[in-house]
Amino acid sequence: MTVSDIGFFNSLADSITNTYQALQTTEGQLATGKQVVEPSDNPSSFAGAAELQTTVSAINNDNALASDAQNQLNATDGALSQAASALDSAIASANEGANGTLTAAQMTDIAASVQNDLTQVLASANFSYNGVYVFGGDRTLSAPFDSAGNYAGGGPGNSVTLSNGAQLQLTFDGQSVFGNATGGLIGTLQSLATALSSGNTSAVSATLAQLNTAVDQLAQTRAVIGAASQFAQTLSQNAQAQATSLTDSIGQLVDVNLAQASLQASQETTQANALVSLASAAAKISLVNVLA
Amino acid sequence: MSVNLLAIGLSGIEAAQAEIATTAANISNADNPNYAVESVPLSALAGPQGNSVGVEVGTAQAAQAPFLTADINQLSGVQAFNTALTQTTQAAQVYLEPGSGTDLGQSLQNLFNAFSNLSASPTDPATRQAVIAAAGQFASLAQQLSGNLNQTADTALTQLAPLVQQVNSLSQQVATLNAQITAAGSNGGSTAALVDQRNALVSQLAGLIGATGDASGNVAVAGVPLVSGTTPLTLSLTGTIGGPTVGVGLEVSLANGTVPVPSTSLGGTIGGLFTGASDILATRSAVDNFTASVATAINSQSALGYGLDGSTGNDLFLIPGGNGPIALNPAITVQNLPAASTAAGVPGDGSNASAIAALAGATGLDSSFPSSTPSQSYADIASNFGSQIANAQSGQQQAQASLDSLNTLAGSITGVSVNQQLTELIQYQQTLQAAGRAVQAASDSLSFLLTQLTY
Repeated sequence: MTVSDIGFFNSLADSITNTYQALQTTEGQLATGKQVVEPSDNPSSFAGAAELQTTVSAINNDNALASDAQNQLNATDGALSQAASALDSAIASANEGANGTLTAAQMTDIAASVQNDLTQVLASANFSYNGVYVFGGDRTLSAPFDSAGNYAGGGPGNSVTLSNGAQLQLTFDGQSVFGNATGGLIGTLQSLATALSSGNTSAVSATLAQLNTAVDQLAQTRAVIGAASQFAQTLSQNAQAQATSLTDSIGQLVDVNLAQASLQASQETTQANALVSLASAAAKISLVNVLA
Repeated sequence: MSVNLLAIGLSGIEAAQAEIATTAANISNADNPNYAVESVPLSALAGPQGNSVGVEVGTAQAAQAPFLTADINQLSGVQAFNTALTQTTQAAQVYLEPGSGTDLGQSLQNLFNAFSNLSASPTDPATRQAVIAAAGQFASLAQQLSGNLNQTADTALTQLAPLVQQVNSLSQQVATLNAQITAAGSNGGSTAALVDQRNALVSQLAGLIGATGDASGNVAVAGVPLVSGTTPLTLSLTGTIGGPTVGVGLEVSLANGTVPVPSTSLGGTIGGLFTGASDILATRSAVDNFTASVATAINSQSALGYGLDGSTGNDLFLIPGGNGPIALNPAITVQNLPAASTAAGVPGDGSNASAIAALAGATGLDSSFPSSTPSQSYADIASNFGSQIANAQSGQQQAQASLDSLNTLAGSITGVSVNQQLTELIQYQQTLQAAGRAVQAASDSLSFLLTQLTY
């Protein structure tokens, strides 16, 4: 077969151009560290990476939310802990006032102590975290309890929902935890203070059972909050691990194998040099040169 | 006999000279891609007794590979089509890249994240403002992406007008050459150079619009004639650029009216531009449908909620025509953003915000992707567009490889090998010298005869 000069050199030029284009692509991958930058590089990997990236974004957001939730729940537990301490103090006062050995003046002093305990419980019940009144249920913009113990909150409480559907309750129905002016922990403390002030030992004794019930109620709430805090911590830790794993997966989809790409660049450089040498040598072996 | 010997030698000299001249022309055109190697047809001159009395020199003829030429032209059209399609669509896909600044997928996830945050802090003004900001950014990016894709398609289509002018200019030249070839042929002259020129023009038309030519010089595209014999037909651009679909087309003016040229059947650069613009606009439409679908779902849930001010029924997005591009509802404020799902008075309820955030995992919001979540749907739109580009790139590479092979094959038939020409030149020089010797021998013989007659 006859090989025309223009065909031969055009073919050679095309080969050199194609090799340099391939080398340019490989060097671009080495420079960026990515083999998939735009959709056409690898449509399937691009879509997979884009979807994983949004998942990572959601998980990172979940992590931040879970971490914030854990902080809020821990702070809430701190408030309940103070309420529990006040309750313990009030129970000790009730036991002391119920045995009938105290003078009227001593009963009045104990009543004042119980009033302080009540104030502490009300402060805990009106605990706010970053401006949110945690025990207001769904009404978190203002303090749920007034100084008389009347409850102005409402609703079961608000929860945050994470991207995987998991929920963490952040605000609670304060009335079910602390009662109100007419009952529950607050109401019982008010009754106790009144009974102590009036020196009514039988009435003081009658509050002990209610106070013990309040202890159980408070402990139960703290257990719920503690479990939620633990759950938030687990979610946060899992989210971090999951985000790391997914980021690795994204890397596998779009990152270049540096060792492989370096070797490929080396091979393409050698190929390009060989083609240029071939073109140079081919130009010298023309019959024109022989005849000359 | 002596007189015949002179004539025979002279014809040999003429033949060798013609061959040397043709070889010189071949060598001088060795780098001309539109030149087909020429040769001189020789035939024996018959004497009265049927014996050869010399050589007759014909008109130089160009080597031809008509089937290969047709295939090369077709592949040139395919290659140019895919090149234009690749370049056009690549200019658009940059807007779908994560680092493009119009990463709609990430922006939407940011919005869902903001609603998750709102579910945790439904009354916090900063968190509520963050939701409005995220919604505004999503709508803004949706508009930008839609506009950028539209602009890229329009830019591609604006390249058509000068290309159509080129087509008409080439058609005119082909028609003129057809007339010249006809005239030269009827006069018995050589048409090789003219046919070479015409082939080159038809090849350019193939690359421009995927036109095909026949042996008579007629040229057509998608079954519609561009050149009929010596008559060039005018190709025109119709319609206007802009709008949601390709608003321009092509037509050819014939004697009895105009004939539309189906743009979907075009090859070459013009066909690539049409297809590229169409693909981009289809992607833009898919993006608009996607954003409108997501915005509709968010609005539906949003309208069920209550704001801090107790208002309800508020849409977060405006969806003009129900099909985008979407916009943030300017009436939405920190106060009326509906995060709560229960009636006014319990503004700490973030369950409606949770319900909106949960849409991130809902499938089928965009009916074009019934089993995909929003992020999957958008990734699929980008991926589908990327696949179209990758196919065009692959088609371009395959056409180039096939073109290289065919050009090499055609070059072996019609191309010039300088080495071969030099070898033949030596041969023709020797033929010339031999023919000269024959004339010299005839001359010597005649001289000897004259000498004998004198003495």
